[in-house]
Amino acid sequence: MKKSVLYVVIGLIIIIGIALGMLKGLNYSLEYQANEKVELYIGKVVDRKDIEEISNNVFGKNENKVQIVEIFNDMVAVTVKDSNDEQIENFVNAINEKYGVEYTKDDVEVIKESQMSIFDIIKPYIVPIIIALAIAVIYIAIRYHKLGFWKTLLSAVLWIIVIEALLYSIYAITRLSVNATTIPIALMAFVFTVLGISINNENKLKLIKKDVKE
Amino acid sequence: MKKNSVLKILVIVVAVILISLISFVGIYKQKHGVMENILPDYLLGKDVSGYRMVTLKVDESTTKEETDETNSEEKATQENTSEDTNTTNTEENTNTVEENENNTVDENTANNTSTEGNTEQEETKENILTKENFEKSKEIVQNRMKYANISEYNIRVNEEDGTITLELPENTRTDEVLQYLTLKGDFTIIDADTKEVLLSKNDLKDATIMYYPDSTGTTVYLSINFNEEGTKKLEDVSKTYIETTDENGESTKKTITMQLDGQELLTTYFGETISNGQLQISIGNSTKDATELNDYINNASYIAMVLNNDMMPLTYTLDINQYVSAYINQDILKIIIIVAVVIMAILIIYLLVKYKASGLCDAIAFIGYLALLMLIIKGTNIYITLGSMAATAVSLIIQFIAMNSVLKANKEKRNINETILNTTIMLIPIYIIAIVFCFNSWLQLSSFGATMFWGLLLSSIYNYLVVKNILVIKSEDK
Repeated sequence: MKKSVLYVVIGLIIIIGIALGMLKGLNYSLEYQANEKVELYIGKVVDRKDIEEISNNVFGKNENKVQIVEIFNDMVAVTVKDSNDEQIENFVNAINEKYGVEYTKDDVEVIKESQMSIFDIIKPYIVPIIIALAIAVIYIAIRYHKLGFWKTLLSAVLWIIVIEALLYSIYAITRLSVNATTIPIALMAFVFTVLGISINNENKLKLIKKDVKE
Repeated sequence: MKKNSVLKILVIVVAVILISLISFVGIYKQKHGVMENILPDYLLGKDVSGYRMVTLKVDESTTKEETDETNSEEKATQENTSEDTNTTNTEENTNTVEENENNTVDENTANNTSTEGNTEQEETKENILTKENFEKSKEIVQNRMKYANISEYNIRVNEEDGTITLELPENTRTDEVLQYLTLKGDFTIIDADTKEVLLSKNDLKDATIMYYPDSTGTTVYLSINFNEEGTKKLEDVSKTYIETTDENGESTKKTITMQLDGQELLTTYFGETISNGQLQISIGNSTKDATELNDYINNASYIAMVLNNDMMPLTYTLDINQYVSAYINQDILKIIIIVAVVIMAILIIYLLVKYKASGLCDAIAFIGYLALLMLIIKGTNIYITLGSMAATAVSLIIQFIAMNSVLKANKEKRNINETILNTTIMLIPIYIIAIVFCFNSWLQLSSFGATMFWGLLLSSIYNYLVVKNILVIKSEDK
């Protein structure tokens, strides 16, 4: 009973998640979505934290990301979703005040970056994951063939799809930011699902062996 | 507790602490008056250390030239058609002469033609600067990077102006790869004197790199292989472009020039007829120096990279080329480490509460496992990426599960060896995944796979050698 309730809940989350994902898309982080890189050569060694403080005041907290350009720590790039003249002017003024320099907004270079395609992000992972999945699942089906070859094989594939779909749905429903950590998290989920399947089948096999002995 | 058992456990615990110190702190030696860690540094991936940000812009001037070429071709075709029409239709000729007599009409016609020409040029430019061509250019750049074994990158294309933005790992090859990434890939073999195109990119099949070792060293060759049509053309060319000697004994050479994007690669003549469709160009001289040889191989492989992929539909130029620090800064890394330490602390407390004294020994062993894994990551040159961090976390959790099952088996007086073996067998599917990922060239995956593989292997060996022995010593004591 408890299991069926869990399956219904998982099913509902996946349906809602996929529907939301199709309607609203995922919430891509700044580095993946279309953005602007506001670059300024300051000419003095800067502290990243100071620039972050200035950027938070000008562009809004959690709405910018600061990077140091080149190796001399004297040029910065602030990634924002979009910027306007007033924000650029305020940014330059704050930098001028902090570092005692005299720059104008004309010294700022704004580089427009388009959105990264989701296919380009996941493309390098598709083939190796399919190969790894195929070999691992075939191994599981052979190792636990006493539980039914096709049943074990299909349930393993199904569980992996369900868990990855669940992860996608969680991202879609909670509007969690899709960033550089998302793929490693998905890989972790993949490994743990395979581990879970393996442990579960091992336990089932033990029970069968126990029953046979009795 | 017996003195002997205490001593044995103490030795194991001290060894674990020592390994942990070596791994987390390092081994310091005085060098030129400064204390230096003699252990190698971690190799950092682009998401942790930083990357090269590059923008490739569509070269509008070349696009204009291409448009002009297209227009002149179209115009030539129109003129030809017009000539044909003129010879066949006398009535139309008469009309044209009549119109030419009237100056106003003539001016209007000229203006109209000019406006039509501009509109045509704009239309043709629009036909070239299309979303499809931008997308195709992106795909070619991606294929070239794959060929050049770029281990990880981000690519995006602006669908409005075709600008391609790349994020590449920063290393000694980055600049070399960039030089070739922007090439259009227009390969031609032309007559050195008349500039007549003898063979073009359409005649190519592929390009491969070959090595010939001899007494003076190794020579690197770029073997350009032609398709069926190209083979025939090459055979004809190799018969024509040779050194000939006249009756007076004076020799004349008819030479060809090999070009890539209009840049001369080589000017030569043929010593013999080439009928197998293979043209071999030596890259550099024969050498025994490994660095020099590596440079030649790299140069050959970059040319092969361009030749083995389609020609870019547009010409791109390098616009912005700068090193940018990673989004994950030291503060974020500190947070990740703190979270990991807190999770480990919770797991250790769980072991302590559940298994008391045995749990304490194994908690220390658990820290030792992480220390050893970090040392292996350093020693095997695995890059620290978000992927390898995730794999470290997975390895730690798996080790915790394995240790927990060993402790449980010990508590229930079951065979520890059998438990360790069963756990290892259960982990085989994860080994499979780790090994498949290890052989992938994408850094995030390979670092994930390599860390997972060593994590699993270490777990099995460590549980057998350390965890089991701690428990055995303790139970012997009882």
